[in-house]
Amino acid sequence: MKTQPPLYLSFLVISLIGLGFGAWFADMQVRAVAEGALATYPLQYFLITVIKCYLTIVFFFVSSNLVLSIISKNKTISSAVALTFLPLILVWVRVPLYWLVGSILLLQFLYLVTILQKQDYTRLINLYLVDGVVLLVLFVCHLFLTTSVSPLHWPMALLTAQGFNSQEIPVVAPIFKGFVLSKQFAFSNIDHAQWAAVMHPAVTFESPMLQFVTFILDLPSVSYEVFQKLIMATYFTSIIFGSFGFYLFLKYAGKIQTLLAFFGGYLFCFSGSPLFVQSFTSDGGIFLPALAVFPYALLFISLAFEKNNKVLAAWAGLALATQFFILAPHPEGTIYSIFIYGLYSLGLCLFTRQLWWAQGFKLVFIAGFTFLLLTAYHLIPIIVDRFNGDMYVFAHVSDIGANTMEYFIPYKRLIVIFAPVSFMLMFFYKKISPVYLSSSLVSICLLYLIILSTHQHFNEILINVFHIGIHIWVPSRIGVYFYISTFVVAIFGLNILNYSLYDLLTKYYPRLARRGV
Amino acid sequence: MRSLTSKIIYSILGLLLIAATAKLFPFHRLTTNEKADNPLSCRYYVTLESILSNYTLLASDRANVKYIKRRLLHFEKDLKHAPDKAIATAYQNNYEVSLKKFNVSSIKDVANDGLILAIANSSYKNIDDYYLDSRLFCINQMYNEYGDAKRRITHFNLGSLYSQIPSRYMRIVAAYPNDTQLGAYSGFFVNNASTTLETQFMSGMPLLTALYVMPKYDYGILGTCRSQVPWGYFNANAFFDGLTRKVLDIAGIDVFSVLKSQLKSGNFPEFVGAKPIDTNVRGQFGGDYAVYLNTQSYGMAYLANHITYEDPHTIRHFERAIQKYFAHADKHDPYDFVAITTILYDKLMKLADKQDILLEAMPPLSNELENANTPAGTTIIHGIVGPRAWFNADCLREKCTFVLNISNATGWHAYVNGYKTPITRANFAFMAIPLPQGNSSIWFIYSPIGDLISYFVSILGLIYLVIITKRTAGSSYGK
Repeated sequence: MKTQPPLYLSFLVISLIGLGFGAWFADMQVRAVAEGALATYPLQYFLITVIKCYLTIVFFFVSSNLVLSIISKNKTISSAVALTFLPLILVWVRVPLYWLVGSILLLQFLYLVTILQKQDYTRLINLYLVDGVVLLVLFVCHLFLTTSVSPLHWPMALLTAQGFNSQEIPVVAPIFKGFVLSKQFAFSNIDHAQWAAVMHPAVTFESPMLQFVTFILDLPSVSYEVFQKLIMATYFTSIIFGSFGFYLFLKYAGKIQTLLAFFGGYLFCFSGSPLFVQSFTSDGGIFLPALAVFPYALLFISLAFEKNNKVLAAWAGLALATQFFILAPHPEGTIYSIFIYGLYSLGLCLFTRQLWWAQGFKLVFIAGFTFLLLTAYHLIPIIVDRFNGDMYVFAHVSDIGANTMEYFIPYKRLIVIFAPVSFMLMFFYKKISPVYLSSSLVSICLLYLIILSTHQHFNEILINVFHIGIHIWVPSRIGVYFYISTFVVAIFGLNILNYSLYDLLTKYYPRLARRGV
Repeated sequence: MRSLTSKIIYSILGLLLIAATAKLFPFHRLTTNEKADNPLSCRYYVTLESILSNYTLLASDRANVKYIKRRLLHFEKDLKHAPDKAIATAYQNNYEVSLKKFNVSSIKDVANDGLILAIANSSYKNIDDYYLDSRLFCINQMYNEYGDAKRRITHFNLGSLYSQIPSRYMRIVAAYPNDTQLGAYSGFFVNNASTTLETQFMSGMPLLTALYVMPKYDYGILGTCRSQVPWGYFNANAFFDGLTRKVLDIAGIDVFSVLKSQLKSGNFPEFVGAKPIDTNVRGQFGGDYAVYLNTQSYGMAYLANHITYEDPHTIRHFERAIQKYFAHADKHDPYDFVAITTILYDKLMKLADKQDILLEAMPPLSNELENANTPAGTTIIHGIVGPRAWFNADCLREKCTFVLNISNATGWHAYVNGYKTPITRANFAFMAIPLPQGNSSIWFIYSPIGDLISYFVSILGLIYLVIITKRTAGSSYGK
């Protein structure tokens, strides 16, 4: 039996590499202010930077260890994975970071090739080939069909797009600052020219991911074209990421057939009329990240309930928190996604029969706690600034009124078709998955809220006759989630249809069924 | 049989549902028939001149020099394959003259960063002319036909407006009444290094916002996006109004740009305490801008001339009242807000000389040393990058007060000659620290404890989650 080297060895290796890299980064950070600044720079801040870098490297190490373990089915040795990070030391001799990161990835790939055996390849193909192909097809579909953000149109699409797709300068400015500053070793978007703004505005558009990519790829910070392409790349990747997440959610949580799940995934970003598209692209994509990560949160929480697995629940929290790493979203987008996610989780608590309700709430709590833990870096400074009186925050509620017109969305037609179907599914279908019941719950609740907020007479009747109405103002942007939840149920209906046709065929044409029709 | 019937019913309902969904959720304009709204397939162009005006960035980031070299290489290549050889020849000759000055025949052979920048600086005009005048980038069509494109292209190319200002650390106000004029909205503060904006969006700092962001404005209709953000607030008038000008001087607005047309139409006199700066904005991007250096500006960092002490408790009381007003403007009378700001403006207006300050601290028994009539001294800005700023100050008096014109937010720490020094608020919004006589090295670092704790909480949480996933999932990975 092979013996694993002690765990502290890998810890020692990655610590040395992390501290070495951190010292280089801290040194460069001070030099970026001015040559000769290091002599007078307060030591404690230098050390804080070193520790931050060190922890970041440790995070990348444990993450790559996890990924390699998943692929090789636990055949990796931690200290060997730690050694793959050795090229990072070469930053001291000014080797560009993209070469170093490329070398690390190459070393990890070569290491994987050496430890994988024939049966591992077979297992990997069985497990991931279909999903890999779907991801590839989604990429190709979006490349050729989603022209507004496709790389094929990057030189001109952004600048010529009209209306909702326009990149408004005030929204994009903080990312541009982050883009410029990351090349000066300052992962911040604080700028001395921004003297009149709060340090942690509640509505900002910072992007740790974009800063990281800019830094690693050594992009030229004077180039507006490169900056615009970087933003477009983020949009494009997010759309593919969102589509693929929705596919995974339908396939693994909703148990939908792969082909249908693929269509669902592809249609995800087209499923919602102008509101949906607006959310993807309006205000410089400020509503995009919350939507792109939303299917993953649904996937993990659904699987957590199915398997009563706390780690999966924590991953649901991580998925929801990822929006802050991609592009810190508009608070409105975050609030809606949390609200709808909460409603969906409540549905799972109610409709998952094999779990006692307390077990369900424990999973929801774990997900929520993880979300708070991982978004702390973004949210705590805002909350601190708000409560120590440095900052005030207000909502520009009056402007939301302008969106009321978008409520002509189709609730009148949907209420006729969608609501009875949902209820029938709930009452007549005995083994319906909690995923669809929860989606239906979300749809019905949102429909109720939308009707209340838009249909004055209906609301009055509810209040005066049935005493169940409330005076409520529901912003139109929440309608996006109504589309998503309705869409889940729609795919479910299509799946039933598909299986029913198959049943019919097998009953009356058994020969065809045997041939695999 | 019953099950089959129910399945048929569900199938029909499912079909209806899908049909309804298809009808209700049409494919929308993430795809477009008009090739991303750009039927002419135009590409946009950012002038080399505009890029080169970011001189600090060019010097500090090698990737930028490589980018400039790439631009020059493209130019050489484009000249070789020019559709109209007659036009290209003239530009080719001019370019060769520029190269000859540096004894090189092609930018391909040049590896030295300084030389690349020097060649770019001597030939940018020729290169920009070639692309813009020969319309290889069909900017004119885009410029005329698409409003959004016009704004953005203009914005990208306006770096050259500020290419002649003397220092990177100068604060600029673009004061244009029409908020779509520039793509950068009026009142936003732009600097030539990062073309940044003051994004006062849905949040602000109470006293700073009340007094400096939109001077004399009562924020009475707070709660709407447009009223809060200072888009469109500033124009040429602002710099003729005594109070507004004083406030902007104190805030360290070193450069302001206005529309020439507005100056002509308003029959304004010449600006007092302002010198015009040359601008090289190309015709395609409008020639209507006038840029001025504000000689009355206090600057980004300075040694205070004379100090007037203000009772911090009284100011704190005012600040709380303003904070409440901002939090619920609809429930408070703007009159109270105006009354408070009027009192504070009166105090600011009493500052007679340049770089006189109000300090929120209990007055010492005697501040004759600080208020001597000899010059206070000089300051050097070594560098300000994000949350780190380094200065040197030479205090000629026995005691001095160093002022940094950045908002006094909780989380800033000041170090003088390696020792931590408490920060006091100056002029109701900015930062001030005491300095001893002689030369001092000063660091300002923004590092609130909340940022630090939250970073560690998040990163440790992430690491823990990954480790726990690896441990609990064990051999069932991937299933």
